[in-house]
Amino acid sequence: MTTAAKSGFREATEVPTGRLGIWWFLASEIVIFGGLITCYLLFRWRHPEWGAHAHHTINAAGAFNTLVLLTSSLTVVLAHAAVTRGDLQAAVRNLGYTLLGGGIFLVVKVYEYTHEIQAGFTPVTNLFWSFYYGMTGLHALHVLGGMVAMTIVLFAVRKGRDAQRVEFVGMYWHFVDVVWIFLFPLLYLTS
Amino acid sequence: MNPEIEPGSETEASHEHPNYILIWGILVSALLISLMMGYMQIPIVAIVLIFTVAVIKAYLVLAYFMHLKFEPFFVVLIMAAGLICLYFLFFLLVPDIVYPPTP
Repeated sequence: MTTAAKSGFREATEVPTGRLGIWWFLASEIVIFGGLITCYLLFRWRHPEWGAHAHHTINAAGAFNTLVLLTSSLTVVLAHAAVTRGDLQAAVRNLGYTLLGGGIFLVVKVYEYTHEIQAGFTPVTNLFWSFYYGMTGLHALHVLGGMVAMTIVLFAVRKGRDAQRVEFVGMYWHFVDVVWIFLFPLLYLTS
Repeated sequence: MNPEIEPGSETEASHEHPNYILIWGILVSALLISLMMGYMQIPIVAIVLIFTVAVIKAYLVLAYFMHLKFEPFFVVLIMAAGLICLYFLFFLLVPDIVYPPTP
């Protein structure tokens, strides 16, 4: 076995196997979220009155959550940078900050859902709210899944193992951030 | 807690890390610009500008935080494959929206 193969590189592609796998996984995620967003855009085109429904979503909460996710993306990429320097303590610390960001995001989401449901807007109110709960709910599940994966990686890195996984879990986290970058204007700003 | 990074290993950086704080600053500024555009009185202009800013934000995250800018071109093609599928989905469904079935 060559040195490159031992260290996880595909010689033909010059991309580490793990990272290549994550790129393929994220490409499949594009189709999942993209399919929902495409259908939402088409329905929104057909139903201009949906703008009035979007007016009821909480802009401040959506904007705050965007800020939280952008900041957690910063901390997870700083964790990756720390791994490349060999500073695993800094990596663990930044992963912790990222988990905190994910937790704050979910708490705000629960607040939003509670507010909307109390105002009478449930997933069965109409198609707009079905899309709203469907897309943001699927996204929140991805945030939760990312937090679980990140916790596993954090404990491994604390023991000095599997540091390369910080980059992989970070790429997934950034993708979740990118999805929210589009969900925020679609469901909140364009009312 | 400071293990040596094996040359050529998956943890070794293949490029210099960009200034992540600066990119985060640009992303937050773009968020503020999007919020201000939400209050514009010309909806169509606001929508175009808001989504232009969203695309720029997504590009910055993909290119610099996810390091897509430093990957070989075929990795960009992997990601583009998903977008191409969505392109076809959108334009194959447009006739159903523009010409809805009459009862």
